[in-house]
Amino acid sequence: MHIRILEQFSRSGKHPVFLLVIAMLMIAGNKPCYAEDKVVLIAAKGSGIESISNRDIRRVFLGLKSADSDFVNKPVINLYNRELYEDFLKNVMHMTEGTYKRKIVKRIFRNGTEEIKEVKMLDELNTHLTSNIGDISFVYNDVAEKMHDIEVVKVLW
Amino acid sequence: MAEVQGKGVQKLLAVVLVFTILFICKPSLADIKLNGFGSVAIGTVVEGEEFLADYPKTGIYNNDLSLDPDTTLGLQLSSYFTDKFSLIAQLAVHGASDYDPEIDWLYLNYYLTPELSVQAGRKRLPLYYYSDYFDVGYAYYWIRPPPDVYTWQITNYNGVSLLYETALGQWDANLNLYYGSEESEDNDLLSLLFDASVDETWKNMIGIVGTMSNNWLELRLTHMHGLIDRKISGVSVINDIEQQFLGISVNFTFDSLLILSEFNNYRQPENDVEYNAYLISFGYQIGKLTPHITRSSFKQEINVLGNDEQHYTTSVGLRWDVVDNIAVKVQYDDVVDEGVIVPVKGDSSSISFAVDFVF
Repeated sequence: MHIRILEQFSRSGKHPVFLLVIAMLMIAGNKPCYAEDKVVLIAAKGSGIESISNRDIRRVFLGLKSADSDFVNKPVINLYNRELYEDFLKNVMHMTEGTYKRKIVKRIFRNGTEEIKEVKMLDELNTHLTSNIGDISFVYNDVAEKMHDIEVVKVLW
Repeated sequence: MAEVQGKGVQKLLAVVLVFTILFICKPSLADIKLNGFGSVAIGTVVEGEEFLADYPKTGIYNNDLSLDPDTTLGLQLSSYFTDKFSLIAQLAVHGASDYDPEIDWLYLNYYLTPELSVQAGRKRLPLYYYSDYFDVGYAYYWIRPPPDVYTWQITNYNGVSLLYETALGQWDANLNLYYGSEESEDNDLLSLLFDASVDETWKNMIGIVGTMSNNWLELRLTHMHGLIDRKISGVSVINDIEQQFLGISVNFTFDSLLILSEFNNYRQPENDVEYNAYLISFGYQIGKLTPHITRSSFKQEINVLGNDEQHYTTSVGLRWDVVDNIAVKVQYDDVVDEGVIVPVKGDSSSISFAVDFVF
């Protein structure tokens, strides 16, 4: 139906602003809306991680040891949702993806540290965290609630 | 079009083949990690005669297209015996060194505490900001760190080091103390400059490197003190002469804007040798593109021997992050060589292209 309306307006060419608004609404409608969702730091249940500052999360995701908790092990980058990953870099790491990648590469070749694990599937993330107690990652809160044997360590934003 | 110059194109192709296989199917064992890096670069001098792009390995571009000066391929093996104890080895081939394999890193690492580790073996000499990953082109936006600043003839040392990494409030801090020495027979850079075979030994090197960084600012201070022995054509010309190196780097990251700077001072007080070098660079990330502009300079004070090495470079370039671990770069370098008694390679303008990758 809306396609026919669009065709009608595009033929007449009288309402370009209206067309633009419709196009924007269609784009917005196809985009997953997570603006209202909280983003949380997660670990396996029983990890023992009680509190960790955003500053310390940044350190851990740069490949450094946690200064806040002995129970924090390794970070896992969640690439299931690209927008979430970019928001995490912006809100927690305070850097662009390019800068982050280069920092990690520097550390690998300067200190011989391990690469930071990346996962693209939520099932894989769930399995990894429950198999590696103390590893941490980030997901939307509603996603965390659906994962098995996972606890929320902290609300990130 | 001029024929591509290469000291060992066949050797390079063989190495590229091995790297391609490793890049596609990266092997991984439970406690052994393999990482690789590479820069395949091609360039030419468009005005002038020669451009010394890589001082330590004497990678020189001329009026022909050449693959050798900046092409580097390397493999790093990290073997974790336990959570605390590991072996790090890095093997690299450089076009400027005729693609002969060289061991740049080979050391044992042991974590005494989560924040304090000790290393023993062969490491990069951490004089400059980019010393540790000088060969890993993917880690910076230039095709090579500005040559005016990276004029070191000794790039590694054998010895021990202590690394302390901690958090101080809103800052990440690390302190690196090291002690060691390095001998270089027929040193590439000095043999080029003196036009004779030069053996160089840096010994009793004691150094300290301190770094502080937060979300937008990184400060690095480095100091090294040691002794030099030098033989030219087998004749000892320097023996137990003191040398000192002092360097400071200040880097800013304002969201997409990058401002990088480095200032170094090198002295041999007994020989009246002193030089200052600096770089200042601006880069701006626009999505996957990073255009950048850099000014660098090297100036040696005139001493009793009349040495007056002076040159500066203006570079503009573009880095394009094609995919996650591959970057394509293009760069234009304009060198002005003001040395009268010690000119390096004269004025030049050159253009180079590179593909950098890590895996």
